[in-house]
Amino acid sequence: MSNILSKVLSLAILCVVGSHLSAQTYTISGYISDKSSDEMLISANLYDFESSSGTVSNTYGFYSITLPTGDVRLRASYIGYTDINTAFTLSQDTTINFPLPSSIEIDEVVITADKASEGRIEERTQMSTVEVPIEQIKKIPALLGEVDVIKALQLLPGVQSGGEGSSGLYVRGGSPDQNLILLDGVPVYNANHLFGFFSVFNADAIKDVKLIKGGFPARYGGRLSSVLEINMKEGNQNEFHGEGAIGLVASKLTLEGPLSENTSFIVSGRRTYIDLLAKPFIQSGFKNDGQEGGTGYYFYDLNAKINHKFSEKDRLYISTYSGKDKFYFDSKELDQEPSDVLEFGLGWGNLTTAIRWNHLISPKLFGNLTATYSNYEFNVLSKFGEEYNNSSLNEEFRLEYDSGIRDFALKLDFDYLPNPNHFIRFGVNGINHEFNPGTFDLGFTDPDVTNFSTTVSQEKVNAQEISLYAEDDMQLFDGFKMNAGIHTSVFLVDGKKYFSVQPRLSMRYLLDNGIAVKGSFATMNQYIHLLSNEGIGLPTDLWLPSTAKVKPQNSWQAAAGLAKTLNDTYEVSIEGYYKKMNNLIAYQDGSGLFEFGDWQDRIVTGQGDAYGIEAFIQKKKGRLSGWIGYTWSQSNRQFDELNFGEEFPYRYDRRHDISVVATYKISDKLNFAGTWVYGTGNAVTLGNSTYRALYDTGTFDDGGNYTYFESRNNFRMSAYHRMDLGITYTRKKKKWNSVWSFGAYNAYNRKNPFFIFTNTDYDSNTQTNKRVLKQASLFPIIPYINYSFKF
Amino acid sequence: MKYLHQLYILLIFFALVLSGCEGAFETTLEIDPPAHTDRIVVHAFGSTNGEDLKANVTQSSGLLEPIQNNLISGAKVTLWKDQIQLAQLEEITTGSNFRFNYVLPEGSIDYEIGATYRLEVEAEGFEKAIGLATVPQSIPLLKQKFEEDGTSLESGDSNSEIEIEFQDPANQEDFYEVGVSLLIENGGNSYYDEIYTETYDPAAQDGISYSNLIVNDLSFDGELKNFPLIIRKFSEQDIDNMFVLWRVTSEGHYLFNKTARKQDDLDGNPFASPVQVYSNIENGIGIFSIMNEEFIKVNL
Repeated sequence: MSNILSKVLSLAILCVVGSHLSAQTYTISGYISDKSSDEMLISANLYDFESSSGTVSNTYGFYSITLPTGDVRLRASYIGYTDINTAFTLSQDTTINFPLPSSIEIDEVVITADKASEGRIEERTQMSTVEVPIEQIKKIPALLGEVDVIKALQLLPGVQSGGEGSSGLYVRGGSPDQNLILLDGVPVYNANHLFGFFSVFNADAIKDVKLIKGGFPARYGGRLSSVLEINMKEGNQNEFHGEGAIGLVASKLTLEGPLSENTSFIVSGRRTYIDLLAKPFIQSGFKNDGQEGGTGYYFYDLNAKINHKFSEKDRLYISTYSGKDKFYFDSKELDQEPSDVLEFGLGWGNLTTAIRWNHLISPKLFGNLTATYSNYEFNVLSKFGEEYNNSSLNEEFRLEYDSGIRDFALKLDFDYLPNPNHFIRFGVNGINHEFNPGTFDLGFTDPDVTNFSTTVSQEKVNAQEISLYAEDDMQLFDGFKMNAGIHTSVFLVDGKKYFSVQPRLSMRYLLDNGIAVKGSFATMNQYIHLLSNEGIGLPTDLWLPSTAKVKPQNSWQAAAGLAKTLNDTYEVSIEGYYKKMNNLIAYQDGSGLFEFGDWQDRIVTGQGDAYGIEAFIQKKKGRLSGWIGYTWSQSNRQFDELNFGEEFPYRYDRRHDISVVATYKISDKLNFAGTWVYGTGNAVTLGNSTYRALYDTGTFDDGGNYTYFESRNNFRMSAYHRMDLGITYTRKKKKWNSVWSFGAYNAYNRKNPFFIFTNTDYDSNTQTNKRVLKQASLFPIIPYINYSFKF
Repeated sequence: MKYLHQLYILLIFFALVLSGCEGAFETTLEIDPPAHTDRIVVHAFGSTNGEDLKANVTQSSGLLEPIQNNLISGAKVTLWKDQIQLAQLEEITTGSNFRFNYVLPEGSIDYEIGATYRLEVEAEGFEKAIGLATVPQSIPLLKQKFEEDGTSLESGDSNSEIEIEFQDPANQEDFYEVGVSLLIENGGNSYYDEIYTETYDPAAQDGISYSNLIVNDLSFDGELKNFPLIIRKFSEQDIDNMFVLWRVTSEGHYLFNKTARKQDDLDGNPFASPVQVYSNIENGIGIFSIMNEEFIKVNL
């Protein structure tokens, strides 16, 4: 493998050097941005018709293209924007910025991407990648009208939700911890609100969403199954604007604008308010029971970003995200001496911060230095006791549990564009992880006995992860493109050192009939693990490091596929993949949450594989837009200590998965949207039969009733399918645009399985009790209404 | 605006229709249980101590059927070594539920160390169930010393303990079961009274019986191993009739004990992953195990 890679890299270097020697060239560089807001556009296209070569802008909107002396005819384009064309004679290094005028509605856009431009699916070397415009995500009907980025991604082939209402991402047979979720380059460890029913990303603050399922470029690392890159808006540089929404669950407000000529900001907040609305009723209920207190649940998100342009060569971005979920219950008896008091709280949340400094070292070399901080904490507090008027007599028992992960990271990235045939990226990244695998604080206060307070904690673990990467997106000859790279990393923990070299390769060959043949191979390493219960997505899931005892997860994935744009309207692709994963972790049979003792003694390690075929057809323009995705897949796990060593289906092994997404513009004011999803039922472990066991203890006979499980995940829940419908009515005024959204989640009221349980029911006909197996569903048809505005 | 009016009407109609469909919002649904095939359930234990074999032969029930004492009568239960049938177990009807209903009386067989025996159970309407068991070698207990004042465990109660010691053979997986009993003489009858036994040694854990401990040698392969059996408080005078039950068993026996106990412990816990009870019965459920067993008198 390394031999092939070194040959490929040598070839690339020869091409780069050769191209330098061939002719007098100059570099055109600059930024491609939104004209109205000066927001930088990511992956915008720039194409020169004279040389038939092009490039794309990077994450910061920067582009660079080096062309031979002479005439150039450039076109800058981006989906949702009107193109800009310019022509001139190139005789020196030139800087040109392209502020593209925005089209109001995405379906009004005429996609002018030239057949050779990077905008078309068959032109891109990268496969297994989907970018969904945030405006399209906002149109998709959502649970309780709450626009959800991750739920929209679950509608793509190869991506599944964990279960009803869940915001978990299961990509190509991988588990949620194998997704690298980056918000402005900072890892987000728990992307869920409300036990997974909503994601933490507020769509109003987001500029761009990209999901990579395979063929990972070398610049990404640290997770096995996917990279979800979400970039926040930078804030309107030209004028002050705001937008907001009032929904059934939450309301949100976003403000953005210039702070000075070269500085802009955006701040966005979202909060649920069921707790506030219900507070008076709950308090009244407590009072009727002779108590005071309250109970409730809320979550909030706060995004903020400032960017400042020091010069054409230097920019600074500071962004932060803070989000928290809190469930609470407290009560105190009134008119009692002593009075019983009870307090319970469950909270979790993320805090992320990124400081990024862009520096244009030369027209061909772009540098970015990033410092990031990410903190995820989970906390449970339980207190109960008795309170007296004389507080010295109070008794209290207190139990507090904390766990979490905290990262500090420093990253240096460079983009080097020597000529139109090469886009070279290289960089280094260092992360300090601090893991808290679980701390119990126990306290007891009683005036009659000795008070005590103790902490039972699993040792916090510090670990360092350093990675280096280099990749080149190159065109080797006409029709053949390749992205070759290498990602190396080292992980230091408790005196143990893990080292890995991860080659990455993506290729594309364009056939004469316009069909692109694509292939990719990527190896990945993951040094952190999420120890999760296979039940509902609880935030108690623990992030844990690889240790001397628990090895890093690793995988390799190969994929091949075809892609073509039909009639300039439909993007069609079909891909097949195979993924092998090693050193996966799981709880031992019967182990679970809130256990004392070393977590390493409660887990088992094993392996998994996943393979499948994904078909995707997407229509991006016209009154009707949307996509149809179909996935056939299989995913298995094998652990020596589970299922007696036999392979078993992964819980989220899903043979068939279909998604249909459509939005239809009825008029300038009315827009209809609908989605339909179908998926094979999840695999769960359910007893096939029961029996009595009798045991010879040597002196007595002993026994009991047992359940016989044929194998792990032996039972399929019924298939999941659901239709969501929505309609939006838009009113546009000079300074105030408003949108009313109405719709229904689960429009035909399908009872989708959430979990299965046995129960004893009374049969009135036979007047006997009988045991029955039941399936609980979570959401029946749920209508929603939502009001949003922009000014 | 025209569209908005139509939309309001649609929504009101929608709400009226839904309010008339009360049942539609029921969130639980009765579903069919997993497919179930009646299987023979065999729990058969042989011992080199009494050179006997006893089997409890029952049948499984569907997941939702009432759990009953499904003893199978009229079954043909045979013991084989290689291709030779050694014996047919005799069916007994004691009248009490859930007893060993097929037995070979004490002394009716002479187990050969290291040999593999096959138990076959044939019953009308069932597939023939087959279990294999190998007789483990004898690994003697080198010490079983009583201490009146033993280690205190988490409960804080005062305890006595019996320190046991044995030499674990190297380079092979070995499995043990150990417990403590008092031999009671009562009007000419004698029987063993089990004593609840604990230990703090991580190599040992509770088995299915709630009195015996099961041990594997993963952490002490080839070593001279000793650990205490912690029991309730006894004085030195009380131990005349105290015995250690010492069994060398098989991996299957160990796994059956471990997993059955774990399933018991987690009964009703919805957050724990389900535990499969180990079975070595082909076409059936249960365990067939032959143990190298001794009762050894406790010393001071």
